[in-house]
Amino acid sequence: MLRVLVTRLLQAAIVVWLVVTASFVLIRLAPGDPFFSSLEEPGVSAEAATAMRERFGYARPVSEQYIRYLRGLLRADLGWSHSRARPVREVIAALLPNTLLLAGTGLSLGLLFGVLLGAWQGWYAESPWSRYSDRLMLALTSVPEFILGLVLAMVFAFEFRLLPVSGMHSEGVTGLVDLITHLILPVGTLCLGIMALLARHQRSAMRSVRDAEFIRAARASGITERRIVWRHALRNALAPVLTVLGSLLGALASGTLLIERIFDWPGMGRAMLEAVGQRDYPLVSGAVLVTSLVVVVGTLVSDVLVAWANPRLRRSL
Amino acid sequence: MLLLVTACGGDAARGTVGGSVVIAAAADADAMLPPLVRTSQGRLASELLFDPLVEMGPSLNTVGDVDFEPRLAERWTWSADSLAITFELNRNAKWHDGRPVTATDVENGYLAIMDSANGAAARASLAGVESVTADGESRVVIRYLARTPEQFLAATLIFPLPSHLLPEDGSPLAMSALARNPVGSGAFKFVAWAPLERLELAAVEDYYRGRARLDRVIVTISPEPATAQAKVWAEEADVIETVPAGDLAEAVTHPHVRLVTGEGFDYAYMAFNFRDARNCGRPHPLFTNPALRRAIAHAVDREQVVRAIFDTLAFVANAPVVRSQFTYDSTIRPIPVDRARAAAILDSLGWRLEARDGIRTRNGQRLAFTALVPGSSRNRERAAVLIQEQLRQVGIAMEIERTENRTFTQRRQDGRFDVVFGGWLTVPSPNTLRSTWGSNTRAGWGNQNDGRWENADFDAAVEAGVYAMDRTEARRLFAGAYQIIADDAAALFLYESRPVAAVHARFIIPAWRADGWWRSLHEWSVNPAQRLPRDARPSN
Repeated sequence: MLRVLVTRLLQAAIVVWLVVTASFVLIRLAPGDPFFSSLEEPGVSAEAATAMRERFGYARPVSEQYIRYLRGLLRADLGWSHSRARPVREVIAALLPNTLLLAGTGLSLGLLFGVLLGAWQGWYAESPWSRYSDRLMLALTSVPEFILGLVLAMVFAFEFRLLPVSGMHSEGVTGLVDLITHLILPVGTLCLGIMALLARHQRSAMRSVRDAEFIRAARASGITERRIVWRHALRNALAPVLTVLGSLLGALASGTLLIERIFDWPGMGRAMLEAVGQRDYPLVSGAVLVTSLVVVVGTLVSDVLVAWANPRLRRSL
Repeated sequence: MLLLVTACGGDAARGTVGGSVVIAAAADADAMLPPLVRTSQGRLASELLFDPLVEMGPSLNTVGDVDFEPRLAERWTWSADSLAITFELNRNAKWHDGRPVTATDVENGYLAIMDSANGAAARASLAGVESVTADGESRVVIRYLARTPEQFLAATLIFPLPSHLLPEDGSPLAMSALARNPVGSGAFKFVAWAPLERLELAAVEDYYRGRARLDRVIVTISPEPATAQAKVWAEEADVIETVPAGDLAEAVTHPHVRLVTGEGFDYAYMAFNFRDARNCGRPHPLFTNPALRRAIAHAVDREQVVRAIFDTLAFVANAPVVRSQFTYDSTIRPIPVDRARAAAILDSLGWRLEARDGIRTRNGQRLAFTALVPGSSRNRERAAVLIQEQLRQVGIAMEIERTENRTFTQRRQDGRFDVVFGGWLTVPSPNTLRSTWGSNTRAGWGNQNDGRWENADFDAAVEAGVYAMDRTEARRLFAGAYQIIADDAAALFLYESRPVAAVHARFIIPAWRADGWWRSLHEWSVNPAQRLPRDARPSN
């Protein structure tokens, strides 16, 4: 087990290194740099940009910049964010908790509701309500998150003014209730997408388990229906869903990026998107590094959960 | 559409002290120390935090010193040879930490701009300054290399920095504690800055020019224009700098929103490339011919284009100048719209309408070119589409190539285009014409002249205008330069914008300055009868 974990950790480290290297090179292949004036202002001199390029080493070969970047990483120095005027580490420290709050809440609620709904749909697959709700979930999985987010914002924030339009806090208002009201729309958008996807997987997994030998055996031995569902059927039907959960993390990272943009949520996704536009190389690399770390670690956790849910798989580890 | 818009400046009543203004900005400030600022969001913050020596007056006249207003400098005197100006600092001016603002602080502010490591945008504009030196505690002397009509303008660009807080170990100013927790001398002091979220400033109680009437200025960041507008419509924010023409109808449905129109500083144009896009060493196969350029100018109805896009919320531009600049001249004669004349010129040049697709050809070559358009400007994109159709009517094919903003700028600078739908956000001084439209074969000129247009008469007129000591004479000379560029059809000047801002109606605002609307924020106040909960005085 330990050997497998160490191997997986090494694989994860290689994946993170590849992702960071690719982003490091790709962003430098795009036209412009952090000091390339995108403003159409005659007052901004090319001389100033040249001086800044020299100072931050962007005039040197990419290979030299890369080695300097790796050396910095060894000292936990992610560099200086030109667009945010502070160290990248500080930007990430300020924004990562916001993203984790948003994505974590969306994922947790999506997982909870998706599993419960899918389990119910699968167990009562013949019920018309199960079929209707499955079609609704199919429709929800077909809608891109940014469209869903805009629709929710238009209805609940713009039209009926029930919820705040954007941001994390209202001006002059503090407290948990204010934060929760700001979370509802972005979390709701993420949650609906995740719930729909997981519910469909959970439904088919639950259906296949429902007629299995061990369920019939449990029923024959007099175990209550509730206990059969919760202790036997759901636990066995969870493994495929947890596998999907691992692959969902990457999609969650990109989904959060758009959701943060739509709802002005001050998080890592929005920072990364804007940093790409501003060619803020260090912030792009730092954000990619942290995001890939989160995704890789999340995938590892998901694998462990799958093993927990499936004893046969656990033994194979 | 103009009926929907109210001009500001007519409010006689003044609100009481107190209140908060929440600005929905499109982007975060890039920095707050004046030498480090490059974006308008950064300028907003830095100019509320820091005071310059003097400020340009509402007339935006840059010649001489008559239209400038004191800020940190109470008064100034010229030397007999006009090569030095001595500024007397206001002795009541203090940094937000309570220390007095000294002449050495002004000197250090100048040195920070001139330090190439800071990449200050103002550095090039201070090239004519020989030195800035402290003469005692509250007297500063600016010495100039030569006497020029706009030499006083330098004093508006010099913002003192607190010497006692500058890094002493030679570390970069951008990475200093001062850069992140700025201590200024302006009407507002720094409170907090959360990246991508908000920037908060508070009124300085003992500000030497009188306390601002507002308590707080809060800048929230909304990169999506629709979200920023929605925040203003929902009273979550108070100010949005620009409301697109298409959203004005929605804006007027909100009774708490007041629309304020002003004059802008940006103009857009369709510039021809005079060098071959594939080989900059060669002349462009089409656009070096002035007759062809004039034919294109005759074919394009700019008035129709501008009205279709903006209705009345933009002016048709006839030259590289905007109404806010003192050299603006309304008598510039553009090349008139005359499609028959355009067709006749093209015929005379051998471009004949023989092909079935309606595009002219000459020796088997189609009269076709590509227009480079930035993806970030919906207005320029729409202008390109409308002009594409107008050109097609006279047998010219213009293909539109829309590119990402940085790619657009890179290709524009490299000269890799046939025509470019560009724009300049200009400044009150007309001197920038040297870099934007002057010949780039002259030293120090034309470094932003992307089309490499060259005209010695234009250069001479601009140079004469730059060195004219009399404002009327300067206007006359610049008008001559504008007429030359219009006649030579170096570009088709399309529009200068008339930005419309949305402001919460509870604010009493004295003026809306074209060169930075925030410059009057310390005079804004809230109508006591319309206060919102967020206008309550902060507890601290």
